[in-house]
Amino acid sequence: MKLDRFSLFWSMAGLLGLALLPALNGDARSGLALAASGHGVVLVTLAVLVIAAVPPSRRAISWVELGLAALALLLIGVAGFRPLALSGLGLLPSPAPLNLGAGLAIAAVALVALAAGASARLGAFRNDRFVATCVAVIGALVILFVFWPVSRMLVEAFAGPSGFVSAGELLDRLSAPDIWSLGCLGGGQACGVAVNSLGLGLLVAGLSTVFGLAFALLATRTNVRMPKLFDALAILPIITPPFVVGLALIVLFGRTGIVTATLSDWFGLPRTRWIYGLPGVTIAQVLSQAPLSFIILSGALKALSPTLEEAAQTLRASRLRIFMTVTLPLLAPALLNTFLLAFVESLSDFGNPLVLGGSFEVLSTKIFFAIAGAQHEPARAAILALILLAFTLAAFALQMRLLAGTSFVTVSGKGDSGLPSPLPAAMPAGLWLIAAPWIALTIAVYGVVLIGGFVVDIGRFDLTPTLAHFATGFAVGTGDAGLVWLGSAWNSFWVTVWVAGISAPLTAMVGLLTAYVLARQEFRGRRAFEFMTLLSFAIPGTVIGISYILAFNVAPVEITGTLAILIACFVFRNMPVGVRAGMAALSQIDKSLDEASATLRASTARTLVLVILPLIKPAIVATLIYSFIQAMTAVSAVIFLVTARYNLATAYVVGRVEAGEYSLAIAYCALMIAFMLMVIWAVRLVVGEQNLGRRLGEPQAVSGGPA
Amino acid sequence: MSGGALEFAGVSRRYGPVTAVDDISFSVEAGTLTTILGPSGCGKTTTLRMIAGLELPSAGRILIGGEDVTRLSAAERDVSMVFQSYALFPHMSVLRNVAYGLLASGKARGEADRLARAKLELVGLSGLEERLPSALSGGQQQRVAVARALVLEPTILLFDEPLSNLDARLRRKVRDDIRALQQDLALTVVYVTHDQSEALAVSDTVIVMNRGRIAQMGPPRAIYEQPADAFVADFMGEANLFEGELSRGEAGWTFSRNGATIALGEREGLTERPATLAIRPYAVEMGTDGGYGLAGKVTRATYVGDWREFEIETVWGPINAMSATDVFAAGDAVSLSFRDDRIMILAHLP
Repeated sequence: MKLDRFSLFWSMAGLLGLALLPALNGDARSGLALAASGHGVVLVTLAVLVIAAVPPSRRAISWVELGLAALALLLIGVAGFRPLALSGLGLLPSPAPLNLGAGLAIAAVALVALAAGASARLGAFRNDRFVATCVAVIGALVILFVFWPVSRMLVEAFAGPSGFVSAGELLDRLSAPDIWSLGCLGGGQACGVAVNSLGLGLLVAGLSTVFGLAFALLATRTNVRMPKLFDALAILPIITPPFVVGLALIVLFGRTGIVTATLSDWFGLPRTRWIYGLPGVTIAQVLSQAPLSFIILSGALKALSPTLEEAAQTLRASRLRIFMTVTLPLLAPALLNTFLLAFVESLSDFGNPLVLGGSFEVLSTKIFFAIAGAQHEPARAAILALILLAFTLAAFALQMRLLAGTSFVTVSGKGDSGLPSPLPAAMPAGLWLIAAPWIALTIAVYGVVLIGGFVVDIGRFDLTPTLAHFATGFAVGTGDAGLVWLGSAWNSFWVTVWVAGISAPLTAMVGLLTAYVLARQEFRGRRAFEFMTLLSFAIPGTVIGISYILAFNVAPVEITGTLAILIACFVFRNMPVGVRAGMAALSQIDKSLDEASATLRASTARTLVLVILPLIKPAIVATLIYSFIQAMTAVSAVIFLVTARYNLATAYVVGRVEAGEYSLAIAYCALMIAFMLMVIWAVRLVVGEQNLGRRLGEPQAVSGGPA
Repeated sequence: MSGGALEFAGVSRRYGPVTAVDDISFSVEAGTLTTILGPSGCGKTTTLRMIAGLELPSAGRILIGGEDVTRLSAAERDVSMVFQSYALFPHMSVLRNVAYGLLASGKARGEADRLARAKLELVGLSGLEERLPSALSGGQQQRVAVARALVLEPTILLFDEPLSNLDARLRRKVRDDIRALQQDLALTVVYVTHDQSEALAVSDTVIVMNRGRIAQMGPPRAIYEQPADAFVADFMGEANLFEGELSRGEAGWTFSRNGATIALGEREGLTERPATLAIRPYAVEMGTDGGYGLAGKVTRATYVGDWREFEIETVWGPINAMSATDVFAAGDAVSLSFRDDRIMILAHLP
């Protein structure tokens, strides 16, 4: 009998999982022990895994294996959600829902893979079991970790005391005045949170686009020789935890802030709390977002064929006319894209409104307080999350449509040579007028972050050097067993590094496998699969956070409070970045290389490892770094998911800010930034120069431009 | 089947509403070189990719060495391919490229390297084993691609437009090298090209495709001299096409169009009916005496090096001619005659 490596591998993986690991959550027994004690569902799973090891020598056997694997998965699902149906049949020992443990989870993945393999044997996925397995396993995981939580949240939003609420009540919930009120326009009352979020988003998107454009024009169309500075300014926001800017703004402009104090002392200006609220949040978000707008727009400007502007010049157009009638219209898609991106980022941002919002409430913070605040109101949080999701999905859909309708300029040697038209005469001066204060503010903000941790109290401008803050957070002593991490921040720091270190390679693997399957394979449902894997990109972190809380707090997948939920959260949130980076990289690699490998008898997996992966190494590295940094700096989703035991750096810092310990918070942020720079530097050293300054999420925007 | 190395039986390939290959059947004898020839979009590349297993047919069966491989993937078929772009793995040395398929087939590293070196020697690339493909010339890259495909000793070796990335001077040499290699090793080769002279030069059998169907299949000479239809006649070398009437005269067959008649001599298998005549430009002879041919007027004379190209207005319509003669210029009156053994009567009427 010829053994079949695929079947054997997955069958063994599942069986080993059942033999060695606890099969159920909260029950230390292995799957074998449970099966022996008569746990029907585990027994069926075990039996199916054993049968699946038999090589599928005939078509009929493949059908049987497919059916059995589907049956076992169905049983696990039913046991998780509707246990009563099975306990009656004697398949479950008790009517409690099945709570998936590590062992049974591995077995379930093996079953999915075996089912995919069997369906490939039967002709699906062009008979390619590797592709079938990738699609099935990734699809199942995306459904579990993106779709199910979000639908669980929707159910919560629509749920009433008894089943679903009526349409009328739902409408009432959705249209509550504290969400949509326009009271602030008339003066006096506050506006609803949705109105606040929308207004803030539009304001931030507009300002970021303007600043980004000003800088992009200065960088690409004038003789400014400071690309190093621009690069630094562009990369800093990417590795900065999102609320750090807000924190620095408080230190500068708060009631006791450095600037406020100086103005008060010198000019007698009254100390106010103006920074708390819309102005502060806007400034913080624009400071964070404008550099990304700059990167996208300068990319688009470089991609514009200068020939078009030269043609306009030969047609006697003035500089201003060229700018208004050629450059700007050609830039329009990139501008709109930048705008939408900043809009989504602003809506999703949680850290800055939390730190700076004051009484100015936005959706993301309101959602958080509905869950974490005094009144625990998951239904209200779900309603707000639903509205937030609707906004970001709308922007995402608009962006997709926009990009679909745009054909891109490719910069190709000869045809595009030429010099872009100079800007209208007075324009550079005007641009500097916009850009200079912004540079000053950025330098001030990062100056605060840089020195804040090393002085007694930057908030009161006491600049006596001290290491006291680092001692509080990061003291190290020596004990019996070598080093002892005494500082209060070490726990969260190491957990963060662990989570980031585990989730980054997983993100890269899942993202790039998905990209490969999407870019290189044809199968039914490819479009749906693509949509599924990219969708989580449009879901704000806060929404993911609340969805995870609602979905994973109970059986069958009860993983709140564990490392697993943090890792899953990061992997599936950052996966779209890997998918996009991978697809962009693959589009540069001629498909004939895959085909050559296939005609040389190499399996799909072999082709992937020996040919594709070495060639998309830059995308792998970029995805690794991006997801590592994202995992280090994310706040919005994980603030719901951290626990005392598994605290994350950002959540710890938010805690310090809420306790007013700004100096410790700033010290921690500075350390994180230094650590991330070190990681990037180390990776660059190991793998060689890579283009890390680019934000990977928007590769299409970087090259975006109309034809 | 009759010992053919490759057999297509009613094979179609559809992409949604588009039919790229429409119900084609043919077989290829072992040890021969068959070219698939046709204009772009005729389905020739799709056909080649279906042989390789890179595309699976929508209908029909494909047999290789008598075995049904219709549903097998590329990796499972005993077929190798030389790609138009060569598709050399840019991150691997020449030796690693050539040994790639052997390792994938489960050969041990030492054995694989030995065989790869032997094949590199065969194509004259000894000494370049450790180079990267990017450090090779176009011709050398192509030989690496050939060695990489040959090393697996496939039942069928496929070439997808192998000359298209070479400069004009190198083409003839590489073309002859491929033919010599095929004959020396008695390889079964299927070769795709859009260049009819290339196809005529290298092939044992030519399959001319048009719009997803086989327009004609046969030895090069038959394809060129007895084209089955107007498409083949025109594609295999420019041809002047005329529709008219065949009739039986006292001194053999004649062909008339618009009142002008030419003699065709004795021919087999003709009937009196409308027909299409194909006459290649170089079969048109130009003179000043009346002759038995057509009277015309030169409307254009173009100098293109070794010969001249003429366009002549006649009662049959404009006729293209090629001639080494330097006598005529635009505006001159001429009398045309055709070498009757070069006048092709097409079996199928449009």
